[in-house]
Amino acid sequence: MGFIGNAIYLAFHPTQLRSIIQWKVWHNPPHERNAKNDTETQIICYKFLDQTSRSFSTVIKELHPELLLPITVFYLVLRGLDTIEDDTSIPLETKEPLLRNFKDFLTQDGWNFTGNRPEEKDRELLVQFQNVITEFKNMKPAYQAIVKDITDKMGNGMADYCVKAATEDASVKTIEEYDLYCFYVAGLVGEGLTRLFVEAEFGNPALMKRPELQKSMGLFLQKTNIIRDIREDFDDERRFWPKEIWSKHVNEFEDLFKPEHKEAALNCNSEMVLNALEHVEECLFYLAGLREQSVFNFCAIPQSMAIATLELCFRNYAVFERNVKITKGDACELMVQSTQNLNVLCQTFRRLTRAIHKKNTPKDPNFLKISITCGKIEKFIETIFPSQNAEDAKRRVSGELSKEELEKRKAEAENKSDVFFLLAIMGVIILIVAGVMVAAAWMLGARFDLAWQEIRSGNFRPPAPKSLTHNEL
Amino acid sequence: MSAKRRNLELGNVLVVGGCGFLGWHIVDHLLNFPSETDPSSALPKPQGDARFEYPTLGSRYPDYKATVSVVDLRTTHNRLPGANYYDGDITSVESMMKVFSAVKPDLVIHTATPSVLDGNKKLLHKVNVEGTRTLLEVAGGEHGDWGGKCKAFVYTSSSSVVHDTQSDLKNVNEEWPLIRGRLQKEYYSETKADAEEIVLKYNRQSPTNMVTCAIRPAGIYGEKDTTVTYKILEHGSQASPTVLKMQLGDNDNLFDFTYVGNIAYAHMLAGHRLLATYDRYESGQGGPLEHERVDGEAFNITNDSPIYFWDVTRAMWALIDRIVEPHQVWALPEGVLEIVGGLAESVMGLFGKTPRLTRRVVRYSCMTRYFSIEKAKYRLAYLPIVPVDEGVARAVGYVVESQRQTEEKKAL
Repeated sequence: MGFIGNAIYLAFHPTQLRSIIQWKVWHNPPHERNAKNDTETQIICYKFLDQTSRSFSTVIKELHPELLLPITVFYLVLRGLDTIEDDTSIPLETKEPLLRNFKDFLTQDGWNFTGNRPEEKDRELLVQFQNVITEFKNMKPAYQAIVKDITDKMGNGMADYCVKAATEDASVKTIEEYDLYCFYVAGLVGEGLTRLFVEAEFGNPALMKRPELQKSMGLFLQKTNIIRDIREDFDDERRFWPKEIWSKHVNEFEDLFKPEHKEAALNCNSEMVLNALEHVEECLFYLAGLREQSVFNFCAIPQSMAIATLELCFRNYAVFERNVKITKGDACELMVQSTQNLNVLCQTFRRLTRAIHKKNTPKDPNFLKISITCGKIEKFIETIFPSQNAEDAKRRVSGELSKEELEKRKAEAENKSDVFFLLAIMGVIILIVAGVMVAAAWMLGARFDLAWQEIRSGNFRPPAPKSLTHNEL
Repeated sequence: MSAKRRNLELGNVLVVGGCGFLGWHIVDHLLNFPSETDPSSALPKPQGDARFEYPTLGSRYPDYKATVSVVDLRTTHNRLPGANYYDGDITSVESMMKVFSAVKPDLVIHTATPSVLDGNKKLLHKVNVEGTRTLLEVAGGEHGDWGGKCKAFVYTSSSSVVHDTQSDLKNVNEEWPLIRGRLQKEYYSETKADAEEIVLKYNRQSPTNMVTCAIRPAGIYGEKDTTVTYKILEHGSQASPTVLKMQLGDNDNLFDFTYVGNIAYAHMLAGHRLLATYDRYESGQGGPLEHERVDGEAFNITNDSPIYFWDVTRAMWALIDRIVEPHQVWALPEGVLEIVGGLAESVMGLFGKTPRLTRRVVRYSCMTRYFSIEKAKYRLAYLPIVPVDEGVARAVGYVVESQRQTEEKKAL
């Protein structure tokens, strides 16, 4: 859709337009990047950030200044690693040591890599990687250690995967393997980020003691992408849906895309969504541990986008035919709701959970399991933000009124006396005015005694004027 | 798996109402599931249908060590091999004394109650309140020595004791007050609350210092269930496709449905803890810490996974091949239904009948009603073992196969 297409679409979808306007007009970044004092290498790093990621660069650039650069560097390092792994033109003998040793390049001044094929879209990042290294070395040693450690783990994880792919079948078979794959791709990032947040004192240190929480954060995002991208990945000959799940519904993976297996494909899709939804409670729990607004926004936006994407993909056959995406308006609405506080975000999660539940069908073998998972998410939200309490219930039984009710009653009583007072004043004024008028009339010669007599004898109306009979002359 | 299963020693157990729905399951647990090991007491279960395949109960619940006796008004049905059965009436001291001197129980599990659907007020009060009091007093040794000492008493209360049958309940815990008198619209709940209070007040008050506690299940269902599953399947099999599509309310209301086996299991955990508490007191050690206490306490027991009310209903219907898809649903708003229900009640009332659609039914289908089980998780180490979906398959499978067998017999 070009600009015109967008304009027409929005003209017929005013709520979408409203969300976009709301986001653009009212969103105040918690921290705005001060670009004035940036060094040349920093400017280059931010330029690469914009180029390599559209979705992440906005949220990263609103981060607290303390973490802005470390997370930018962290992102670029991982992106560099990814660019080597993705490039199928690099032979395994070259690729494996590159991936395994990538962590050491981070401290080698001037290191860069020109061995990517020209069509690799982030090739330029590695060609000019010395700038990232300069900034890496400027970071606090604690941050350096974290980024290096995650780079080490991820580089080795990727190398293992490449070796496996070259020697044997690397397709994802069990759900356990699926989780492990998602952990290497996204869970590790979550671990690195969490350590950075806690190190900067923007996250509750207890987050480090519950590693399953940050793991769920990463897995939820990655699994959502895998569900959404099924068609694109299939066309690129990649398969991430675990055989343990799809084999329950179809015999061959290709069958998922055949119209005659539409029902089976939908049931398989819903089981994949069910598998992803199981992470939601832990994601919300994790978000409750964040203490700084920009860090909260940074984590919450992708999460709400993910559940909205899941809602869009759930039992939606279009995902097997083409790429589906949430609309710009919905994305803006979600961003508004993800940049306030956990309570607002939870309401969004509840709304989307219910929307999934509304599309759930008893034909699906996992119908009840999905319903149970949705209910659990709702119950979890109710435990963090209770809407009822025992004190109110006790007061109701004892007939006592709660503090708010008492105040309300008091306010009502005050209002009532105010109204009476006003009415009384008005009554007095009316009496005075009436008195003055009567007195004035009497002065001018009004005969109240005659009027009184007439009324007593039952003549409430003035006598009708005698009809003038017009006698002909 | 079986090597890791925990042992639960319960001594000499008397299950009061052991031929009822919950009581039968408690006995089945205590005897380590003769329903799964003894073909003569196997439950009807459809064969060759993957929807009704599930792992055994015995492999997941604890290994119980107990001597089991049952007392019930009539013990001719719902019997299991391995338990001793006694006919008895809990409202009669004499009858109970006889049973107690024969059984000499360490632990009493009291599940006896008339059905909720039975509106007979006099009977409800007599059995639930008077019967419970008599039973307690006999167990506590107040009516004379029966030749033993009962240490612990577990009472099956109901989560409805904190519910006025009208309001929404969201994640409600045991701190909520009992609802009685003017606010309580359901007499059954009133009697359950009275009885629960009597039981909990009786904790360590008897001559024998017997300890007591109460279990409050919510939305009990499972094999042999004559209320929830039965009603839902009755409607599902009899209603026309159009009626089946009608949904009272928006179906965003979460409701607790609890598998009967999990409730039975909670009774055993409570009994086990009570016996340990009793020994603690008797040996002169101090009582348990306040936040770990089980004696004198009530516990909500659920599956800890509330479900949208109509989803359970439709899942049950789907298992009898009556599928209502989301796009076919005709959601009727509660406000309108209240009026229709009210009208139906008053018109039918003129003829002395009650309509299918009453205001009570409407409210029940539209209300949110689920409980917190944090207390039971913490103090009883309770966790639901059988998930809701498996419970649904079990409950429906039982009905489907029983009906098939009955029809087969008829055909012969």
